Amino acid sequence: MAYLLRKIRKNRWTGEMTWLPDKELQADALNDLGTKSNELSVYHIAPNRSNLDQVVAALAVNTTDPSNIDFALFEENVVSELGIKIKKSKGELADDQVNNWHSDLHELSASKLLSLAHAIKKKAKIERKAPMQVLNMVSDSLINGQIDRSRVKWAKPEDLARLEKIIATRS
Amino acid sequence: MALQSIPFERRVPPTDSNAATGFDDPLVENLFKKVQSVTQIELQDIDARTVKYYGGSVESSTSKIANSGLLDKQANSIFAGAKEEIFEDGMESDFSRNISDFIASFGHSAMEVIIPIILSEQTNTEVASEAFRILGRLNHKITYRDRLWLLERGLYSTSARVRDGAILGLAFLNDSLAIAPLKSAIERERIPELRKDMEQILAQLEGNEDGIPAKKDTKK
Repeated sequence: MAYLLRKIRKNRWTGEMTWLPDKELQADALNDLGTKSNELSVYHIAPNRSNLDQVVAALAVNTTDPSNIDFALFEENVVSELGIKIKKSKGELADDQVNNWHSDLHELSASKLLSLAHAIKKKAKIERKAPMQVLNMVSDSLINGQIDRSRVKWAKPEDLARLEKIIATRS
Repeated sequence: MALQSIPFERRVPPTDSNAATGFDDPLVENLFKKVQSVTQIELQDIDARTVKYYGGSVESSTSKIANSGLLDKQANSIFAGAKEEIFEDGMESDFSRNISDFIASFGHSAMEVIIPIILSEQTNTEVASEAFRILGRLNHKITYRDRLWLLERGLYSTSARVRDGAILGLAFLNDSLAIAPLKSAIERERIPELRKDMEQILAQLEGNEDGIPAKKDTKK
């Protein structure tokens, strides 16, 4: 079964809150499911997760600073079971191959979005790639020519210098 | 964020309080110099190593100057404003810009007022967590030891979210000095997911993570 990936902030979904009833969801988790025009962006991940690192790298260079990347991975059928519609659409990241793995969950009502949040909490794998892992993945994607260097959004000279150093050690 | 009563034993060298303020406005420049002139005479050896904690509040000989002054007011304003923001990993925010500029401008004096705010139970945990991440990412030589110390203290927070921010801050800082505190935090950690994240960062600091070995900040 293939997966869908949604970038999140892990600590909004995991951890213990003494005040939070069991199986309930932190309200902050909904910050990770911000919709635009009632659509939510997701990426398709192969059943063997072979394209996961490439997607993570593309997401990473779409931010202003190198960072950890947290994400939820859930089976594609979770979406259909909730009656949520999904449509293929081109992503807008620096890796065109990754852009082809993009879809939008669309025509989302508030209740469907909440159902999705609960499904993610219950069924998704919530994972983190640490900052150093992300730097390595970005380096690999640059070495492999997957990421368009001109579209990397990191701007700080020290970040770019660090990236170049890693590329030099890995290529 | 209540802290366990733990003595801080590590001794670190004093930070430099002689840095230029970098302000163009002569009024601000003069104000800062007035504060600085006092700190230089009386407090030249004060830094995070001498700070003692009593139930989450910071007490040091600089605190009266810092907490009663403009810096304290400005720091509180920065943290109060951050409550309205929604943070996203890797994305600059008004909060990250403000706190970075504040520390870059006022150096150690800024840290003196920031420390009690971050460690306060009253501070929003999301904001405190974000502050730890920013402090880890910041490229600022003068406050390096203060920030490393504060991040290590963050591992003792009662809030899982704040501990998570401290872990990530330490990951950004990438200093092997944090290995021992991190190992200790792993032993204490009761949340399996958080423990796993800590172990991941520990592997990075020990140079076992795939990729480049642990690197010291050359700006220290």
